[in-house]
Amino acid sequence: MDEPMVPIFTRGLTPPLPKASRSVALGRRVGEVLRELPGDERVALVASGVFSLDVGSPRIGTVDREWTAHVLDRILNAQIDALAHEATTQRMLAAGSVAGEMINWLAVLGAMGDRVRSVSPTYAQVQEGHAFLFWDLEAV
Amino acid sequence: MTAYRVNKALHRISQDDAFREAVRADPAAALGTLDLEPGERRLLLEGDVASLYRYGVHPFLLFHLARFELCGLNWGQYTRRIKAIPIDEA
Repeated sequence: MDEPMVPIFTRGLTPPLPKASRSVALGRRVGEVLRELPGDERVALVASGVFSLDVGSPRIGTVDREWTAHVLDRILNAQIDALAHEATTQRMLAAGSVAGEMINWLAVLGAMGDRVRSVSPTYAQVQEGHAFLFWDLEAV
Repeated sequence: MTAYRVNKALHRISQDDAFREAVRADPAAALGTLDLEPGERRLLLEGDVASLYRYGVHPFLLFHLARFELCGLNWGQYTRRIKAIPIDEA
């Protein structure tokens, strides 16, 4: 890929996690900055994080499919603030010891705002607690 | 932050290759060089991950013991021991 890439990687692994609303706010600010850049170069935002995964706790090997499906539904319907409201530290960590990684998705969703032109076919593995998506945005 | 010393020890095990191999070669001697309470050191040497989890050690760091097969642990042994804790207590 030739476009410049902006990875968003925030610390979602261990409490204290930032509030989900702060992750959205971070993304919104990143989006503003990128749109204010001179020129018409395309920029790719990249982030990674599970919705449900446990490493090392008694929940190891389990996946919260209900939460995963719900998060995916919120994302695909661009219900970002509603998701941020629901994604408390307690709720995310109930889906697994590293499920706080989801906040990286919230930051990217905040950066995109309402400029989504299209979203890729969904590659989701609800039974595994994760998904893969990409979006194409309107030009500024 | 009672588990801080143990978390820090596990983080070092995950990042410091030479220290990790020292723990593998002689766990008691290697862990003896760290600032740990005697009880904390004993739980690590026994691979008592359930007690360490209850003590407040972060599971992601704790799992390094299974990942690197230290203190008598491997994936299967770790999972059996940690799952002795009921999920509703997790």
